[in-house]
Amino acid sequence: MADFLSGLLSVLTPGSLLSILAGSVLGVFAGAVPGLSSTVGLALVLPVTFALDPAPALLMMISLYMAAEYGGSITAVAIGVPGSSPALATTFDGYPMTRRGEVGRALGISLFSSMSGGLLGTILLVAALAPLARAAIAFGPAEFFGLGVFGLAIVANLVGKDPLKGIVSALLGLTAFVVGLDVLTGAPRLTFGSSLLMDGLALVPMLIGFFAIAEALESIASGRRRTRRLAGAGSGFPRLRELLGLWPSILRGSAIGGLIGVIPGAGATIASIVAWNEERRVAKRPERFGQGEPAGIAAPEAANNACVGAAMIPLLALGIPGSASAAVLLGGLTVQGVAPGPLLMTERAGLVYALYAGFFIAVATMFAVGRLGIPLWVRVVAIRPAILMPMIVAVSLIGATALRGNPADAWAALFFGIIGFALLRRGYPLAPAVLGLILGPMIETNYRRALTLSSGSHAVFAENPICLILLVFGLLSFAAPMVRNRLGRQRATP
Amino acid sequence: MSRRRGARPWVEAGVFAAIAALILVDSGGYPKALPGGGPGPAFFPRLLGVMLLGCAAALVLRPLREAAGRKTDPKTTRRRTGRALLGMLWVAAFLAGAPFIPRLVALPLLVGGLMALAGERSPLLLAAVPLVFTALVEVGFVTLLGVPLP
Repeated sequence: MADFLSGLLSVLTPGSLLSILAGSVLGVFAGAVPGLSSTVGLALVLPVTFALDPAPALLMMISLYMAAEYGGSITAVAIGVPGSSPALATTFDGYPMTRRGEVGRALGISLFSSMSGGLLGTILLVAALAPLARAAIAFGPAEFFGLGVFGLAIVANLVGKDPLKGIVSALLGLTAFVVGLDVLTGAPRLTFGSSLLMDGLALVPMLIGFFAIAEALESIASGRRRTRRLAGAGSGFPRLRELLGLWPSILRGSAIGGLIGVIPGAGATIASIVAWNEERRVAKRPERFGQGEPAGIAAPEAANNACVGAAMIPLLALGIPGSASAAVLLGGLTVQGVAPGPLLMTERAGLVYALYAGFFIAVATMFAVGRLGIPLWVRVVAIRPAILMPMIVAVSLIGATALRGNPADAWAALFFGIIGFALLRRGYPLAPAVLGLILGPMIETNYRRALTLSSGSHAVFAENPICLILLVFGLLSFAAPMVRNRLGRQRATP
Repeated sequence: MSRRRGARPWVEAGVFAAIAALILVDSGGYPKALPGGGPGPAFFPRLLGVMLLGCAAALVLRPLREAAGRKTDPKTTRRRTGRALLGMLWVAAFLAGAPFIPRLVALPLLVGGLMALAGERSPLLLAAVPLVFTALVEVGFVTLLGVPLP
């Protein structure tokens, strides 16, 4: 408790509070504008965080991540188009309420549920991070190899519509990791004699290129236009009694979000759809779902915000980012010199407790920013990509250059942006490629270390129960797309 | 006229096979094993090369999916790809010219050009947005955050 209070005091500084406020405003904005997302928003603020201390920098990113999950629901409710994919399930009941003239009520339910889900996800993070980190301290090379393979396999299979394309994307990311000097021997690999490639491919330009420039190029190319506006969104906010009456749905949604959010690759989109489906299943009058049922907003919104805290558990305790947004957060941690993993709790305890406290403040700030800004956020929906996307490209290039003061990083970001654009156009998800670059060192180094320690015997992976379980689950993830397709079919017939 | 439904992805499979071949050829020169007997630097790239080659083959050989045959007007596709290519060239020109042109000139040109490519036609917005954006970048990044810009 004393540690938590100390963390709270370190967050209650003008710099940290301002970072949380800025992150929340940018997060709601990134979530609300279709075409942007928490990932794009995080990639864009990466350059801003270079100039900040670790705590305010990470608090800005966390509050952005949290607020973007709520922001997506604004567009889902207002115009029936999810601002970001985790808000997809919110459209099912949110937009019918808007058509009935209850837009303020729907947005109020969404905001309250997001706040409650965020709060419960944070409590889960606080409760689970330390025990998991303690357990992971005993991990050896075989366990870490299994963990890396599990994380990558599950993300490759769950992200995107086509598992084969997810696997190809992951392999391309692993190939990108190979470029440079071998970690164990220093032998140059895939450098083709170029001294520029000896240091390997940098993560941050890849993140900025893939998640900001590629998305912006895609939007510029498609010339998407949005001009719809909505009036009267600020009125009709639900009464506290009605909101408290939604607690069972919020609790169920948060529990589903917390459980699914911990699994790498599963993420907020799946959690919110499962939560909506489950809510309909347990409802006394399931026929009301899809027609503007408040519980159909409360459960998925609680689920996708609960995922944020839950997704931080494997990231901070094991160094495994479970989603594209978590991968960008990992980039932010790396830039700040913070190495997530089992030792984080002992080596940077002060920072971890500050993050705990920051999470709670971020949830409260998200509620305040969301509540006060509803009329403004609904107007954000109408911003044209032709105005927004060029600015995103420019900020991305500036950010990539500012990282090390090296213009070559801006060229690298453009290169990855072009590659990312081509991959997106052909239906390849980008998250597995980034995860491949991040998890490549963990997978290869620990594989080789485990084999060296076992005198070349592969039995070491089968004899180690944790490694074996993780590898089996990684293989089982190939069945996940079938489950997802089944869920999708159920969703299509509400 | 619409795109042929379920066309096999020869081009992307070819690109992935070429990358795999490059990895396999280049990794042929790395040490095969560590002095202690463990796998050397060649092991992982070779494994990746083989897996990528397998995926390239699977892309071509697997049964065609209905979803892969999404109908797209070829004219629209060409126009969109052309716009994206012009956008990439404009950004590359900005990066190439950045060392020689002052930021306060280059940045509005970059943003204004991309806005025009993205379909913005209002002269007022094409002039005002890049200027306001550049001013915000100067104030936000340079003055408030002290981030050194090129």
